[in-house]
Amino acid sequence: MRELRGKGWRVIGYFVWMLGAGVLLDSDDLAAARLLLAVGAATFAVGVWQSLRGSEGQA
Amino acid sequence: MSRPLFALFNLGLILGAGLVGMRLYLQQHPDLSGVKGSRLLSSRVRAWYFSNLEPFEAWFVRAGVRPIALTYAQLVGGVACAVAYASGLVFTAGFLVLFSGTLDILDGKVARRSNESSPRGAFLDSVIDRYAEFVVWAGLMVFFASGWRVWMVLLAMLGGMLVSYTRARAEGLGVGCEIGWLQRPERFVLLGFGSIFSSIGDHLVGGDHVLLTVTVTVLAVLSNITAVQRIVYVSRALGESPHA
Repeated sequence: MRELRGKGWRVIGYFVWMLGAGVLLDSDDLAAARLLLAVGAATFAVGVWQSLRGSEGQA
Repeated sequence: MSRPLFALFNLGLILGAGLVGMRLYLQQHPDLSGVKGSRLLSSRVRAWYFSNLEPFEAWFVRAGVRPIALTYAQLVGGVACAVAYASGLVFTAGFLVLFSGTLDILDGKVARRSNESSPRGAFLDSVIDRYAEFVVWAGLMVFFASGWRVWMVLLAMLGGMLVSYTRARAEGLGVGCEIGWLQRPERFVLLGFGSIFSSIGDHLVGGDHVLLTVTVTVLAVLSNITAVQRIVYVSRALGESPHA
């Protein structure tokens, strides 16, 4: 299960980022798009951090 | 407002995530023997995509989420997708098509993992799948309301329904029928990415959703060919010609 560590958060982060990208490209709603893009990037970063921490533990 | 740089950046993110993610996955030499593939979606691509869903399967099972709840969520996703198409939000709609299709995969996986697979669940899943697919096409028909493209949407919808119906009817007669070029996952992937790339393309070079038009036309042609492939296959399997 170690290879799955952080994967869920990375997938959610990617999902939220793409939702924000859709809002920006489709509707020009800057405030909503910025919020979604920021939350998406932060969530993805949490996932990457978790998986790096997991691989350190493995090594 | 056109945003070519941001559109290009996201195109890179989509292609990059797919290529890098798949490469990293295949480096682990996964066992692909239990994953069925097709011409459009090979077993390697499917297995990689399924691997991204594994954490969610575990989460849903731990949280006690019933598979049928995911099936209904898929329908809600389909309705949201239809609203997005009808409102002209093509990138978002394409993304929701893929999301809705993913929930369709997840409900089955969660059912198997939690030992909740049942004929009733399978039946409800199939019926709700049809509703979810229909509302997506309805939204796209509103988007293309004027002009010849609405007919392509109608043909694609007809083809999709026939592909599902021929399989259900064949299985009712005792003939397995998972054949043909465009089964449901392929239709979802084509429509989802076709919409996303069409929106990106419009931001990069302008146009009136040329890629989405091409995608819907391809879906209209190939899904009807798939339906005919199934009709011929089942007719032969039952030992009767279509003219009999």
